[in-house]
This record gives sequence, structure tokens and C-alpha cells, in this order.
Amino acid sequence: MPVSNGKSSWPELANDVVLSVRDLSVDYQARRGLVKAARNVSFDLHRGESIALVGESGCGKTTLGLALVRLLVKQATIRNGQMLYQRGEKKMDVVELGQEELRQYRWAECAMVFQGAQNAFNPVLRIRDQMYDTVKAHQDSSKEEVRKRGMDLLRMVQLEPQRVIDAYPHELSGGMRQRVLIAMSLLLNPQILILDEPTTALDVITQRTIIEVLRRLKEELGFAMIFITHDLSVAAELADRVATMYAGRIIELGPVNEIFYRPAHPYSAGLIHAVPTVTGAYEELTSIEGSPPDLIDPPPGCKFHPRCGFATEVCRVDEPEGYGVGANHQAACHHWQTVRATLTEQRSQQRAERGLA
Amino acid sequence: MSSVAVPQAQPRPGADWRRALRAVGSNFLLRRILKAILTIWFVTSLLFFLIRLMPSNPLEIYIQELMSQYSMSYQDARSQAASLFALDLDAPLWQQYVHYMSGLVRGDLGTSLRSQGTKVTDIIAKFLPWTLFSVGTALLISVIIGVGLGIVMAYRRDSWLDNVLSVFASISSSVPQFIFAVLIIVFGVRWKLLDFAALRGSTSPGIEPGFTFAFIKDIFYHAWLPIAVYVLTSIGTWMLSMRNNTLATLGEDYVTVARARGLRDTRIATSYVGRNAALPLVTSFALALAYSVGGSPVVEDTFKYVGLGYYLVQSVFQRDYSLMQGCFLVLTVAVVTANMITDLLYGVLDPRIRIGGGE
Repeated sequence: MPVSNGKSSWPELANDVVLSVRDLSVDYQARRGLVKAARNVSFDLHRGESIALVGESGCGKTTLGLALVRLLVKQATIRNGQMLYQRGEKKMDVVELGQEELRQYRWAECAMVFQGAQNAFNPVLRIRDQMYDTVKAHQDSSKEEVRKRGMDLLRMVQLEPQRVIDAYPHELSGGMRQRVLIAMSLLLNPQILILDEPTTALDVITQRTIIEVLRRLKEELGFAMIFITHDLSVAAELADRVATMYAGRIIELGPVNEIFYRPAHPYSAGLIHAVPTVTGAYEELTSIEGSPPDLIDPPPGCKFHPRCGFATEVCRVDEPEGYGVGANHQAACHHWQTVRATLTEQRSQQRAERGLA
Repeated sequence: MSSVAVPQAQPRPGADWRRALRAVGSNFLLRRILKAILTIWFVTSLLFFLIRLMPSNPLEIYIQELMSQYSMSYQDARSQAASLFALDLDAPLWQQYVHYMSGLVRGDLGTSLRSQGTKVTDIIAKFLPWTLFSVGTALLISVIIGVGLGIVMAYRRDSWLDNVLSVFASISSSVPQFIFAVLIIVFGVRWKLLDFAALRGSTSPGIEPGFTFAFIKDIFYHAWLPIAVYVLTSIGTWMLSMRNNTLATLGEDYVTVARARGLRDTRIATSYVGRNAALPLVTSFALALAYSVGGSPVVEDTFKYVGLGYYLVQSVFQRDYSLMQGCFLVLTVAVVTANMITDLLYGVLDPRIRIGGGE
């Protein structure tokens, strides 16, 4: 349940910001203590923009995604922070919404496409009935209108509308269900679409189709997108900006090309080096040593220091805030300049070696 | 040209019944009915021989009764008993079997051995309705209340209400019927709460059957104790199954997605959680309905509520072969039919189960 932070005044927000997350913290109550799954997360999402949330498993990506539609499990608490949403005259802090307002906000303003759509549909209802359920929960609409809208959307996600709309979920393949869910998420024209691992557990060709579909839909319909992924190639294709999460914090946030070509945080750099040919060039693959920290009892200072080759005394004591490392590019690392210099040097060295060979 | 006979189209001898057989094989409904009939035949035959394998026989039992009641000699009792029994128990077993089966096909279940001249079908027709009424009413009550409470328990999981109801449900589902029945009688007599003499039977003597308030009141007056026992001993199972099914369904992804879609709680509780959680209970319900035909011999006997269960016990003690066979036949047909209907019903209730299998 949200804790009221007492602030009632609406802060200045730029007109093109659709969602401003400020200082958001989420805890889970576990037997051993509080799991700090998201810590003071802040970012702005602009109209029509897409942000990729990347990071290892257990770094808080899904928690953050669920918090945006307030679908966290009972054991979770939004400790502090605001989620300011605006659409024209409509302005609200999602953290403060009551049950009924929240119900209306969900799907109509902010829809979420879940990880593994295999079980996303009620097995005993046809797709058309589930679409009708969704629309009817928010507005008055006839079955014919919903059917027509549903079929248009199914066509947009490259499915055969006549066949799919009357089908039961079990009659569709995994990739089809994922696309049906994407189609359904757009039924009410939401301003924000959250996608949690939209391509995981699908074969490569289906992944391809879904990425294409999402790219086209975003252009045509102009919604803003937050997508959670550990697949950096998906991020590279779909994102305008990339946010790297580690131990519940966004540790680097910047334009997609900046992050991929000039990362300033050693963790982002590590993630990129662990994946083949995101940037097109052949480079040696390296994995990041160690594993993510315990979120109940995290290490002091920078949470990444035990795994970091650049760590010094200051990293063990002082947790870095975001440094401006470029245009619209922040990184929470004390040594970002050293990191960047070293990486550039490594790259040119590798290039030179390949040139000689 | 069209009148030229094509040799392959000529039906070969025997092709007709083969085609008919194939039609039955490919039609799910027909196949299912055929299977049901075969099952009933098999069970009936098995029962026929099992019953006759029981120690002693109706004649001996009757002779023993006559000897102890009227202190007759064995010879006198035997000659008196033999004159009463129309059935020739000395005929070879296979002859008796053929005789029974040929009667069964014509809908003739024979006559009761002990009440000469009374047809078994008449006994069943007279006493089955009382059993169906008492057990059926109890079943409806316990399913409706049990399922309702199960849902409440699941939604209020780990609350004091859930804990209290869980304890009650565990007791209800584990204590046997006769314990409840005996406890009711013991405390009813001790505290002089109930007039058990008046409660005996399924109606009060002299009451006129019909759709009158007095008659309906009377049949409930006589049935309420058996009904209470049935409800108390079966409701716990319904509560626990529904609670567990609901909890499992609440954890399904599609329920979370339904909430994300902003559906109203009532819609989620009915069409998304309730419907899916109740699906597995359809089988249990159909089977319980089928077993209700046999009633509970123990409860009917304890309260002297005269239904089919009461006669089942009587016929077993008296080795009344034809009545016993008749009661078991009714039970067999009911269970087999219920299973068949459940199979067919699932195709309607759950789209994932496609009737027909192939094609």
C-alpha cells in the first residue's frame, strides 16, 4: 500500500512528459528482512519515447514495471516516491490513487504486456470476449464496435483477424498469444505501454516479428514505451534511451547510442561486452565476475564495487549519485572518466590487433 | 455414361455392418454410449456371480430365521421354506445367468425372493424417490454452501475465519456418517430434544401425498435428520476443494493480467477465478449425484428412513439375490451414466477438451 508523502501540490512538469517517476522505492517484506528491490528510482518518460530497462535478473526491473501499474504482490510496499502521470488536463500521482481510480488508470492510461503470455488469457473465454471484458470495464461500447476495433488491432500485429478473434487461447501458438496480448493492450489507446520481456521464450523468427510489430505500432499510434529486457539487441533496436538497473537503482541512463558506444558505468560496459555483436563489430566476449548483491543486506557504498575492476576506497564508502557524463546521459560512477578512457583504449587496441592479423 | 456400373462401388457382402461399425467408431457420442452399455453389462455379470459366491444362500438364511423364531426343527423349516421359494436355486449357474439376463433385457428384474410376488422394479420405484429426495437435497445444500464458503476462505486466506472454517471442514470431511448419526440420537434422546419414534419412516402414517403444504412439510420433517447428517459429513470436502482450487486459480497469470486490464473485481471473481476453480468440481458433483442413488444404508438404517439404501442392507442380510442385484444395478447405471454425462459436459464447459479427439 502506498504511503502518502503529504505533497499535494503539482510540480512543474514539461508538457511532453507523460510519466515522471521520482524517488520511487519499493520493499518486499521477507522472512529475513526488507528486500530493497527498487531504491530512489527517478526518470521522466516523454511522449512517444521508448526506454529500455536492462540489467541482470533480480536487479529490480520487473518490480519497477509492476509498480508503475501498482500490481505489486501483497508483501511489497511503495516506501516513498511519486509517479506523476499526465495526459492533457488529466494529472495524477499514481502512488496516491484509490482502488477505483487505479482500476480506471490501468490499461486505459498504462497497459502492461507481461512476460510469457502463455497464461495471460482466461482459458475458457474466447479472445473476442476477453477483449469485450476489457473495453466494457472502462467505457460503454457495443460488442460489434469492440470486435471491429479488435480485428483492426489484430491485423496490425500481423495476425489473421477472422481466425484469431473467435479462437480460444489454447488454439493459438505462444508467439500468436504474445501478439494478441499486444493487440489487446492497445484496445483503449493507452498513453504508456509497459512490456516485460516481450520476446523471451519465443523463437528467433517470432522475436523478429514482434520487434517489427512493436516498432511499427509505436510509429503509427505514438504511445510511449517502457520495455524490460535482458536482451540488449532488442534494446538496441527499439529503444530511444536505455536505463541500466543494478541492485534496485538506475545506475546509468542515456540515449541508446551513447550507452552502447560510450558507456560510462563499468556495469553497463560489462553487460554490453557479455553480448555478441550488438555494435556490429567482433569483440571478445567477457562475462561479469560474481553475482548481483543481496538486496536485504547490500554492501556499503557503490553496490557494484565488489565486482568492479575500477573500484577504489571511495567506492566502498560513498554511493555515487548520477554524474552528467554527456548530453542527457547520467552515470552513477565515481570513476566514469577512467572507465570511458580505458574502454576506448581497449577498443582501439583490439582494432589494431585485428588489423595486424 | 453415368449408368455404367463401376465395379468398386458394388457393396461387398458384409460391408454394411462394417460401415455401421465404422460409423459408431468415429462418432464420439455413439462410442461413449456403447462403452457405457458394455460397462454396465460387465459389472452386472460380475455382480451376478459375486453375489452367489457369498456364504450361505437365501433358503438357508430363511430356514435359520424360522428355526430361531418359531423353534422349528430343521426338516420342518426346510419344507416350509422350500414351498415359498419359487426360484430354483439348484439349477446350474449358467442357466440362472441366462434366465436373469434375458429378463434384464426385457426390463424384468424378477421378483423379490423374500416378499414373494413383489417385483424388484416395484420396490425400487417405491423407495428410490425417498433416497433421491433426501440425498439430493443434502447434496445441493452442501455444494452451494460448501463452494460459497470455499471461495470466502480462499479470498480471506489465513484470516481467523479461514482458520475456523478449515478446522470445521477437516472434521466434517473426516468423521464418518454413522458417528454423526449416533451422536444425534444419543444427545437427542438424552436431552429429550427429538421425538425419534415420530421421525421414523419417510412420511407420517395417513398423510395424503400431493403438492400440499402439509405433505411437503411432512416429508421434510422426516428427512431433515438424514439430510443434516449428509450435509455435515460432505460439506467439508466441497469447502476444502473449492478453497484450494480458488487459491491455485488466484495465482494464475491470467488473473494478474485481468487486474492489469482494469476489470472490476466482481467480474474477475466470477468469470476468471470462480469459473476456472469450479471446473474440476464438476466430476465430483456428477459422481456424488450418482452415488446419491444408493443413498447411505447406514444413515437410513439408523434413522429408520426407508429408502433404497435401507433395502440394500436388508437384501444383503437376507441374501435376497434378485433385490440385491436390482439395487446394485440401479447404482451401476447411475454411476456409469453420470461419468458419461460428465465427459460430454466437459466438452461444453471447458473449450480445451475437444470432444471427438481426432479430426
